[in-house]
Amino acid sequence: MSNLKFSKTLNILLILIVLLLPWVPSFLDSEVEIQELTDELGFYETYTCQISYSEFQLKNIFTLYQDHYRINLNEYSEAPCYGKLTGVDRVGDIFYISIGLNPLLTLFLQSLFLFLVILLLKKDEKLLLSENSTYAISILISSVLITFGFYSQTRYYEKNFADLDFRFFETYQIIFAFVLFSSYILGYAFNSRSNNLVNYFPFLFLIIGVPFGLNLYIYFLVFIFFGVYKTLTSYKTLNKLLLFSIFIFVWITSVFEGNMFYLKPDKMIGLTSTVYSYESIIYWSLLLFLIVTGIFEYLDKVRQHINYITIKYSFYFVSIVVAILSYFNTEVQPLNAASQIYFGQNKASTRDLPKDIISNWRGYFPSAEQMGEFFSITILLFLSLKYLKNIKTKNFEYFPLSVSVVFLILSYNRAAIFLTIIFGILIYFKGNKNLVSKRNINIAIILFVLLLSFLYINNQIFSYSFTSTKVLSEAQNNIAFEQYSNSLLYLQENLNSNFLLKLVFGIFSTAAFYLNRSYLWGMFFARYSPTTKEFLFGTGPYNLSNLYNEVQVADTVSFLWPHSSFLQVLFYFGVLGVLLLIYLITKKIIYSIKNNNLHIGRYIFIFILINLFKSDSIMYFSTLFTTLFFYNSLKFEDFKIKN
Amino acid sequence: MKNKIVENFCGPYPEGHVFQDISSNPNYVFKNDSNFDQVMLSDIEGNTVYVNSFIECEHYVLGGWNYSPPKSFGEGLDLLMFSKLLIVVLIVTTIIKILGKLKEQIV
Repeated sequence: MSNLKFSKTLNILLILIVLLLPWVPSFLDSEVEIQELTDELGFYETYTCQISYSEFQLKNIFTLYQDHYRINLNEYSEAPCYGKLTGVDRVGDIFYISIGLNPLLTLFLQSLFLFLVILLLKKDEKLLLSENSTYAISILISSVLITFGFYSQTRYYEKNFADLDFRFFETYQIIFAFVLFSSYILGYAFNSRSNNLVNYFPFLFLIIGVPFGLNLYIYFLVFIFFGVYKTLTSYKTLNKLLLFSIFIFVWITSVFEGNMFYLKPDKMIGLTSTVYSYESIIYWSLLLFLIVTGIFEYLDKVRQHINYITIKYSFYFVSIVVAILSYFNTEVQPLNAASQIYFGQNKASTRDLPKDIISNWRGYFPSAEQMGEFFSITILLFLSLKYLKNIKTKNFEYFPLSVSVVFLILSYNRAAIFLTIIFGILIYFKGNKNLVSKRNINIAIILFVLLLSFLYINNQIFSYSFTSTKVLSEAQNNIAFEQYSNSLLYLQENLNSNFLLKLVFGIFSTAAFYLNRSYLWGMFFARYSPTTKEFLFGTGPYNLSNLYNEVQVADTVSFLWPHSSFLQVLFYFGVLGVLLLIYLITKKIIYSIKNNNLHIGRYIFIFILINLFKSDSIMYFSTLFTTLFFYNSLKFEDFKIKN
Repeated sequence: MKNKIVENFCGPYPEGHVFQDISSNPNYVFKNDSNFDQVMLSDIEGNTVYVNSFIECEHYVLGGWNYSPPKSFGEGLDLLMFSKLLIVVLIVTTIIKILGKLKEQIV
């Protein structure tokens, strides 16, 4: 017992060291006396990479709370510059304090931090995967694949590394060593604590896991490793990989027919390709296959230990922490920067507080959409457990739930708010069947008719002839230089003559209109220019580079993602991929309805699915994992509920 | 003739380079070479100078500006060294694990 306590204390001490060490003054720093920051920036321009960040901060406490000081993380630094000031610039009234970072050292630091945090959990009695030669080979193969990812995206990476030249083999040896080390420690942590760890998956929304400057999630290191292990130990999975390789081949052949395109990943960093080339297609395709395989393998192995109550509390805990961080990251710049470095946010927290209660505020999250979805899931999980499984609510639960409701409203994700209400009502009546009477159904119908009438009177319901062509008209309005995409040409020529197309596209366009997606999806069709082969099979997963480069469209106010995971799937896997996915999902849902009428996972999975239809969240690992978690839950009757 | 010390500080000799005895010409003006990456040289007292051409670099190195300032651990830290260290840690950990397993089997 005392040994256990000592080990935990030691762990916490190590976590503190990892958190503080890169920033504290040390014998490595210059002996120059630090000056107070004034309008005269000469001192800080001269002594770059010689002053540790904390030394600067101690001398300039006022930069912590005054509005016009911002921390600028500078990934393009050499290793000795890590955690040191690389300059101070002034743009207008704002001072930008640059701190040197190095992507590989951040990977090391973040992995070590996560490793130590996971070690705080109780060790499982048995390892998830036995540590044999297959285990070692799997780690080596997954590290090689991730290193190949660097090779396939050199144009992106060479801008982020000051001390590596991507023309030399030695560079990849260095990257491989870092990746291998991180994979090894994280693999061990997950492998030895997997049974407990699975119930903490909502922490993926807090510890996002993108090392600053790298286009990958640290969780890839673990799940690719699990995926490789599964492939090496199961003929069925190996056969699936061989089958999948045919698609990879088809996608590669499209590259040879076209040009090489590039894309700045922006907030989707971590799960989007930066280049359309055959190397990147191979990398992202294998990555997706192995991650999905790895996640399913992991979830299947730990299914006996999944407990919805712990998951609910994890959601609560994360809700509160992200709410706190959302607020403080607007005010305290070092905290904002630390969240990016240690929690690996794909986009820094917003620096503005919400101006209004309904202002599309994103807080700690990369997008307001994802923020809304996260808090909705928290609420729905609570409702499902309360009404479907009769779990009593403890008083303290009302606090995280109130926080979730407030933040859901702040996100102003209307679809998530609306769906939470609808699903909430459904769950409530499903759990209280005695309340479902003819009288109540009639009341509901009357209320619904009244609501529709109210919307109609207030001119909120538009004619179908207008809404059904709105996406098309938006696409037509946004062409540039007379460049028409193939999809737009096809729609223009066939929409009126083809009944089925008119019906399907009309419904799609109407849905887009009421979801406020007409412009965004119109832009998608203005850009989407597939050949017949690409329409059938797509162009490969997580690669939007050619979508944004092939056809030029009218300028937009900012860079706009497709805002639909459904359209992304169409682009990645073609119409056949969409049909296959619809088949698999429908099959699983029907199976689960037959299996368990009150299945918690099914409600949440359908909720996520509808949200994904109008959001890009599938490009965030946290959402991808959550979706796969609830999808996988459909296989089983339901998970444990143990207080 | 190529001087090893000069090469260490200034890089390889440019093709067709001819040594010029600049010390005997007090009016000599060094010209910047756009193909030459600026180099910082130090003397024995720790003073530093930046040179912008191979000729200038050679002149300074031969004139005694050929001391490397002592590197602290941090300044010497580079990714290659660090990656080697990580691999050594991995190898040692793996060996310890294998030995542990062997010991378990024997017992």
